[in-house]
Amino acid sequence: MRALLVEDDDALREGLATALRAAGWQVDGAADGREGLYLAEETTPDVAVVDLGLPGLSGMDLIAALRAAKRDLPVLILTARDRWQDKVAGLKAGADDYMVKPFHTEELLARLEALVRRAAGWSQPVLDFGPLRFEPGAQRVELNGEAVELTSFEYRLLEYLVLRAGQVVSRSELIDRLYDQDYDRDSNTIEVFIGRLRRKLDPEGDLKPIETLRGRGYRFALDPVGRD
Amino acid sequence: MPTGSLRRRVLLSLAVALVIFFGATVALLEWNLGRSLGKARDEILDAQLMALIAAAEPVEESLALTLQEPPDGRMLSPDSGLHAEIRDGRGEVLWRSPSALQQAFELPPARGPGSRERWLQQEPDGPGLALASMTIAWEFEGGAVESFRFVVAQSLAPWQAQQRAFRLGLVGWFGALAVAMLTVLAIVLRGVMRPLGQIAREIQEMETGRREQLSGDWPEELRGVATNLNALLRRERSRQQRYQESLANLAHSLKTPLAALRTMLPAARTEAADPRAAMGAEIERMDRIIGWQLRRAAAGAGGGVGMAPVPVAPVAADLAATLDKVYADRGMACELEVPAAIRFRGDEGDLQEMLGNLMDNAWKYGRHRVRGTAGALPGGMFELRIEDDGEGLDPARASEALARGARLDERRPGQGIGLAVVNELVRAYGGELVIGRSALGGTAVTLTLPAA
Repeated sequence: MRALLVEDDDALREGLATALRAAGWQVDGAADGREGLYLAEETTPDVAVVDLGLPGLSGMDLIAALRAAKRDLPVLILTARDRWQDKVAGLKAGADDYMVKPFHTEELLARLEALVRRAAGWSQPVLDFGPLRFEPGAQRVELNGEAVELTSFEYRLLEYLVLRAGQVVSRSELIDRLYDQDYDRDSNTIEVFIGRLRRKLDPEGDLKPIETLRGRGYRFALDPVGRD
Repeated sequence: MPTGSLRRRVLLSLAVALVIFFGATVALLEWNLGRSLGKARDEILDAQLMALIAAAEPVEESLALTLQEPPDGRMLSPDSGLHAEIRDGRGEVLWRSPSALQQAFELPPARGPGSRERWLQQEPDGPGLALASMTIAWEFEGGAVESFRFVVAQSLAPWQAQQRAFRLGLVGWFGALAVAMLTVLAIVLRGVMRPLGQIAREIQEMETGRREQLSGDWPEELRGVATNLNALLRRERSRQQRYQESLANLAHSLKTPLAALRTMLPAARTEAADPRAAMGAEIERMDRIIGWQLRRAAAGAGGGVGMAPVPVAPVAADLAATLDKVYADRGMACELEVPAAIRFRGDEGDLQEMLGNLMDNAWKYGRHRVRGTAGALPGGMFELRIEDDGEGLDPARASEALARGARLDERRPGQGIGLAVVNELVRAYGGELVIGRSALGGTAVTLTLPAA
């Protein structure tokens, strides 16, 4: 997952970027609204975190510009002002959620997960595939009711596939979303992690949750239960 | 006279002025009339004297004068008020008109032939007399010359009656004129003073929030007052706004560093012995203090003069749309039944704050349904009710929730602070917050707020 972080306070932006990277996100940081708008076009993030009080282009204008350009990525606004007036104005301008400073980093992460999940078309917080259940907000994966221990990178990989269940996801798309830009694209690390995921999610080998489509990519193949 | 009605003051002053003015006029006219009446009376007396002299006949043998027939018939009758007398040089009465039988004239001393006198004589029980006398030298046929004094007297009664009638008419007319003038003035004043009443009404409307500033169309004399008052209001409002803004800016500028501090505490949920947890708690405290004071400052500003009425329905609809987005996962069904005519007298931000906190709670604690209703109440208030179908807040513990910063539910923090903020705001507007059970099964919070 790729997150765009538009915040003019360096300490806060760096702190948030560190926390997001630790949770397995790819992060692009921008210190003002114009840079944020540029990065939103260039890096096609999955979610944007936008501070409302930005120099140059204000957060509200940035969101309006994104929406005017038909970019429908979910946007979470950060605001120091916790009057409902500001929240209503922000969401009317096109934001999808807000957090009031100072916030708990864990809650911000959970909200971002939920925004990405909803943007992918999942309205329920739990993605239920029968024996396999995912709870993106809590970064929790269950197999037959038992929690599955995944590394942060494994979880990111699985989440990306699960959110696009039924769709083919190319290897280069995965690399783009999961690695830093200077990653060596010829390495076979993705294949290694897919293999590990298969072993952890399907120890018996009868579920086959992840398909490999040779030359095209991967697909999460289980059918969701009760998706609307 | 610092108090009292301007109208009454003008009318009273004018009444006093009229009395003085008319009184002086009446006195002057009467004095004038008295003078011309006196002149006329003198002429009449002179004519009577001449007629008396003409009618006198000499009695040659005694060198006296007599009168066969008085020149004026009135001298025969006693109550005619016209009397005459002829005296000789020694003052002896030679002839006296029959009307004067009961009268005694007090004559000033004679001064020889050719002299004339005029005087007034008081009567103890009558109107008094006006008298004129003339002394002439009468030459008899035998060549003897004797001086005789002719006296004519006339009662003052008809003159006084005339003067009285004149005075009565004058006072009557002037009185009627004064009353008519005062009446006209009262009517005119009512029209002139109407803008003052209007300005008072508009100021009262501003106080009750039905008006933002004074309207434009005033008479020249009031235009300055209205313009200055509007300017004062604008300045006061912008000053208050600036003050609030700078306070808010100060507080808000502290929040970004606090947020940055918190991101530097990645494991804030570790055990209490961890100093990082203690730091996290302190950051939280600072945030709460800032938030509380900010809201209090905002609440204190509520209900100021000159607030535009705020329709409640759009505010509720905007908040519902916001909460639907934020709590998209909860899939709450919200029914809003807020009549368009319900308008809040106060600051739109305050209304948003109250409704936002209540609706946020309903979205947080409700299961599937939220209901928002409003209705007008007598006495310029309206009722606003937010209900949910959650577990419901125990009314016995409700007052605890209203106390500052109390949090009944640590799982989902904020209800306590939210309700306390709403309560503070509602009270600032002179309203009331009541927590009860909803027919939906959960909490029903009812606000009473001033309507516009």
